[in-house]
Amino acid sequence: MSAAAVSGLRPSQPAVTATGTTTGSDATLLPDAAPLGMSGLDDALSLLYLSMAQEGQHSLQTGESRVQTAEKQQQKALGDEQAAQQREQANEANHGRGLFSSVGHLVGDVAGDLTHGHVIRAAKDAASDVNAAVNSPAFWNDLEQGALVVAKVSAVVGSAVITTASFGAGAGSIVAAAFVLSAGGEVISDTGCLGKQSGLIGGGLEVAGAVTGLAAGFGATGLTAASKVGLGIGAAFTGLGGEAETVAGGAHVVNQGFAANVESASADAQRAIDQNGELQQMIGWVLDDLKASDKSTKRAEQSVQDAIQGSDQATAAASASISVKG
Amino acid sequence: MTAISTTQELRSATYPSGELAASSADAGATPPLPDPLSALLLSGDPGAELAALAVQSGERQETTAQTSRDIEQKIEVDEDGQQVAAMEKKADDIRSAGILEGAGMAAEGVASVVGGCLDSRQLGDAIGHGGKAADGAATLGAAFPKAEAARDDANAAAAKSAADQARGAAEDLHDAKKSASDFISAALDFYREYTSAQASAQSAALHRA
Repeated sequence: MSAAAVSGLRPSQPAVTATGTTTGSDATLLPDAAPLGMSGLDDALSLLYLSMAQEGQHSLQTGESRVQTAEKQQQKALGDEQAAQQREQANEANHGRGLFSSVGHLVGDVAGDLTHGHVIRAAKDAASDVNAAVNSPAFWNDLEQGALVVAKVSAVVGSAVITTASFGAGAGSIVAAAFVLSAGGEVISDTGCLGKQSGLIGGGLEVAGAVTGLAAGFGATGLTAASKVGLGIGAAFTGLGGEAETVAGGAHVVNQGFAANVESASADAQRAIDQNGELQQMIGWVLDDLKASDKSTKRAEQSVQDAIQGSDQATAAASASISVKG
Repeated sequence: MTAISTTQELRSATYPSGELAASSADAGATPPLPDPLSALLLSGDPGAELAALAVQSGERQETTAQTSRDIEQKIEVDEDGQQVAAMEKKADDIRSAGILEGAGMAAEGVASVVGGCLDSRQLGDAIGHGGKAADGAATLGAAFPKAEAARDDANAAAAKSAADQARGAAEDLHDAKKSASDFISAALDFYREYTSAQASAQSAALHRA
């Protein structure tokens, strides 16, 4: 058998199936490859060649299959990464409507619906807006910040009013000064409006306010009816501050929950990125291995072809020698 | 002698039947024919012996590089997993710290409201101070998960660094594997040329005779 005849079974030609028959619609000039060991291919080198061709084809198909599977997994990982990044953004503190925007939206929607006489729609819109606000990190962030400001201001005002009422009207002006100093210090500390020195200046003012308040105590006189009313007002402010702080506490829990969700989503995104990288690496390695395997198979096939040609030439030379001698 | 490309092809040449070649790979199966590499090594032909030695050495390098590469890849995957685990733990720590701090603030607020509602100034103050103490304790308690969160950050960074190192090492080992494969190819090319030269010399001698 010649090498040319065998070359019809190369992987680039119609694929040889496991049973040894060719597939594809193109009719070949060569007869169908018979199963190994049949009379059609009884030459050992040809059998070897066919076996190598089949093995090479099989390796290629296996490699292709692995790459395709990895690519599908990569697409899934990419989708997971995008979903995680969206989740991360959705839980960021500045995402969604803030407190005032949420309230304004709710009031606007409900008022608009009621104006047009759509009561059910107003209820639905209200429920939808409330749900959006509850799921909005910006809403909770604003709520916490706002509640904290209210709590601090209420606590300071309540304390000042109670002190004024307790110490009597004579010390009122001093207590007012103490209040202004304390509140001013608090605002400067919180806002940082005076740059790097804000903390220091704010702290100094608060201390000054406390000292002034203490000084007012020395000028205190007995409780009057006005003082009792003042005490009630002070207690109301203190109560308001307490409520605001409770709200701030609840909002803080929710906000930290959002922050934890951001971190969790970031972990999911990182997992998807890692998986993508590992798959990319694996695909690169599989392709490298396929190239090496293909190179090796071609080299082996070439070797067998050379051997077949050598064998044919030797046979031809022997025949020629016999005929010349004959 | 047919020029042979790799040790697998060498074995294929020795075991023409695919079944035989497959069966030789089975664990514990003893091939009926001698190992071709050993046969070449013991052939007495210096060129064949050199080629066989080079192929053997290349094969060993290739196997070692692949094994090490797989180990490094496993390390990379493990470290990536640890990085993600550290990030998830950080998320839990943030949540825990937030709950503690929020509970402390709420406790202080509730105490403030309750204290303000009482007629007894002393009792009200006591409750108010109790609320502040609760807030302080909660803040103190929240410091532990916060510290853990910072530690988780450090762990995640360390795991990422280790994963990157393992990835680099795996890539290097993959290159080493390719180099070993190229070395085997070079050895087989050498053997092909060697046998071809030998055949030409023998042919020329025959013609002269």
